[in-house]
Amino acid sequence: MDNVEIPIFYDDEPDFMEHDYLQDVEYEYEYEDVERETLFELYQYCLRPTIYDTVLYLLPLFISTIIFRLCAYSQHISHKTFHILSILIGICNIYRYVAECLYTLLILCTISYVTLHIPKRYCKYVGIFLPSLFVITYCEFSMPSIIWHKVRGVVMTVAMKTISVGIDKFDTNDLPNIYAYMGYMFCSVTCLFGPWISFKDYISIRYVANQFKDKWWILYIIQYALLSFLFLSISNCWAQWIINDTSWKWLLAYKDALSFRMSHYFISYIASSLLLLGGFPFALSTIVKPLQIELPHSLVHVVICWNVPMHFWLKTYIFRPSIKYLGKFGAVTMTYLTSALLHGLNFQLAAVLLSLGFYTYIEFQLRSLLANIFDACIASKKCIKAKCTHTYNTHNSWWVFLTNVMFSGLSIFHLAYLGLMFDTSELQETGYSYIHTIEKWSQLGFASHWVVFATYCIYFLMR
Amino acid sequence: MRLWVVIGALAVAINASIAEITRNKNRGRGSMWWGIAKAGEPNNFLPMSPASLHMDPTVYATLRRKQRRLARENPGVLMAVARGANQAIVECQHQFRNRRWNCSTKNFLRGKNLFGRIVDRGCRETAFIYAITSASVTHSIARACSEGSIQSCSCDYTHQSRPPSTTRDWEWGGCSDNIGYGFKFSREFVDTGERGRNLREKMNLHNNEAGRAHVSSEMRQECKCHGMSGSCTVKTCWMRLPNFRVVGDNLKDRFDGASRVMVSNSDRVRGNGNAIVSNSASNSVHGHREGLGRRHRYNFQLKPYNPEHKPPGPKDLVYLEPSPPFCEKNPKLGILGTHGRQCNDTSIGVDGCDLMCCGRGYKTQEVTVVERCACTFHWCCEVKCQLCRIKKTVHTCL
Repeated sequence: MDNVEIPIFYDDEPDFMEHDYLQDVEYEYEYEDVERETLFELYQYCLRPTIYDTVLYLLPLFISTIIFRLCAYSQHISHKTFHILSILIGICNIYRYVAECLYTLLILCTISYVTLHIPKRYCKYVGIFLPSLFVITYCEFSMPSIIWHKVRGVVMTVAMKTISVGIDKFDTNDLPNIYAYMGYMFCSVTCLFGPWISFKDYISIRYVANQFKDKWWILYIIQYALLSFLFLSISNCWAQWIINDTSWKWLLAYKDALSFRMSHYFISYIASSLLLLGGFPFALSTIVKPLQIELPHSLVHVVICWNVPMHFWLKTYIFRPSIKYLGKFGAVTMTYLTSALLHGLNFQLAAVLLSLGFYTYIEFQLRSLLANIFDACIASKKCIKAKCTHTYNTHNSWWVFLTNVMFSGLSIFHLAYLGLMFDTSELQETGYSYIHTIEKWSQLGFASHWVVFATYCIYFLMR
Repeated sequence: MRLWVVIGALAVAINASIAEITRNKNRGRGSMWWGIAKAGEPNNFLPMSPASLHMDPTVYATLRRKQRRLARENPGVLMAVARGANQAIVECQHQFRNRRWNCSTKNFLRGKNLFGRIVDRGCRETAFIYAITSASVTHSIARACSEGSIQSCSCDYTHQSRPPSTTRDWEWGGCSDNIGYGFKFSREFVDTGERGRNLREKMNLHNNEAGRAHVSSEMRQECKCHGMSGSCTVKTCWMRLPNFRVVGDNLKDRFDGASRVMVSNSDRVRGNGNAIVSNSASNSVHGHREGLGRRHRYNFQLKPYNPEHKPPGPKDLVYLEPSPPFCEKNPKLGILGTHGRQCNDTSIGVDGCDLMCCGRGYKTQEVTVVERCACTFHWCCEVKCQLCRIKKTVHTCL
């Protein structure tokens, strides 16, 4: 500010009178280490507001799910009334949480229901995808990015539902009535946080619910809810608290990625507890397997365990039909491409998903090659103990174990690299931009991509 | 008529000279509480435990009447203020460890200022001392509030309705009042003696406000999105109290770019012999007689010394006069000089031997230091170290 004076030298007033005064002892102060937030502050500023807010925010959703359960279990109402009630509760939830996309969803469901009526010879497989892809593209370009980023997950779930119904109808030629169809689409349990459930599962809740009576269902719900809040607190507070902002850059990358993964577990476990509360059978309630992701056997496992219903959907409706036409590599690319399209035309997600696609493909090929050469259980898929065809496995030789641990470490490294971009920067509300992605990756020198490239070279030379 | 003008001018001149003479007294009135940092230390006259801080007469001697009242009415506050004062000293000495003036403190004696007589002058260093102490009291009080050790600041959950945000999906549910309480308390407590009557008091007020502004602007809200695959269906937010080191760093930056200010327009008019001073609201002693309302206390704009510079902003530090040289011992100002200070012979900055020793030269010694080394972590949770003798080269100023 004040450039006239030089701040360092103070020579302008040299003449002061000497004056005797009592020379006091000077104190020595020890410099404290850079203080860290105390546990109490963490509780005060982070844990309590986070949990308190989220519980309040989600309370209406839980209440509406209980109402849904009562409707589903009630013998007094007809199937048709049940579907209508399901639609109403679902629309209320959507209106309460993501009102911005209500009309979009209505339009999407109507168009896709109309396309179901088009005879088979005019409508190929691709025709089933067109309405969803059209609506997603339209939203991507016309909606403000904050809103689109907020409702993306909801639209994606509905799109997956319409596509699955379309393909099922294509194979079996059996058309659902409009009430059941709309009830399925707007089913209040799954419309907000997913997961995708099949049409059959939705219909059979009316029958299954009465047979399936586990005394302990409420305990499972509480367990899921508690776990989900634990993951939320890790994502928001503990991860930041444990790993300082001034740590090593790879540790920071791990922190951001960890925070993102925990956030995903939070959403998935909330969805699980909602499914159980809504009266769906226990078998459907596994959405994510956190342990398998945090300590991964291989990247393929991570992809499978990340979202089990979504994996099932992709396998059934994309991978298997396309493997006939495109071959294995093509089918893998097609699967990840579809997944990226469903997530919206976001560069960052597409980059992560396509990177994951190549990573898993290369990892899978290399490991199966190695497994064949050494006759050991080091393939991407875990050997089932009884049916292991290899001579060496983790129980009889240490080097198999070591190799698997090394591959696990490699997967953790890749996951930190891929997940670090979902940070708490300004962009999290509008969707991450192309520049953000490249910047984050270039800070780490594109290390993981180079490692994969090296892995591919090894595979290529060994083949 | 002319006679009245002359008399008026005389009166003003006398008043001005009185203000000049009593300047030294004016400065310290609000700043004696710094001594609280030393209260309760064993090498004081009365060894006291921190718990009995409120009874300690040496503590009360440092406080003004209003400050005593505040301490009485808000139990627990005195501990927080003491902690804040210590934090300020530690931070100040950390920030200035490599400079000629190293924020040294005197043994606290009744009637003496903790930082020595440097605060008698309105220089940069004084500005920093005021800002950092005010900031650390704000910080420390806010922290004590969140820990629940001050009863009078409670988080009232019924009063935190915020203006609805654009996304309308999130409302702050946590306790954000702590920082507000710290801010308000610091204004009441720290600014007690400073009424803004003369320029020096204005400088103190401005710097105190700047210190608080740095704390409250660093208090930040952080949010995180949750939703399927990175979308933002649920958003949760929380608050983070800044690390005090960050506040210290920011204030040090402001210290380096502090603005020199001067008497405002009204005073200069007075100096011209123009006797119509009744409207010079703020700076003259007359203004005091009319009584300055609390609202006006923070409502002033200081004028930069160099008219080409921008007027200081709310977060800038301001000072009135150039700093005295810190090279030689100057008992009148309580400056110890840089004799015997350690310096760095390779650095070209102020911590380098050339600048630190002010060209007097330095001596180099080899010292054997016993340090902890080869530390290993034992599960769980213990760190064991060995003691090593290391030879170190130490340079000290002559």
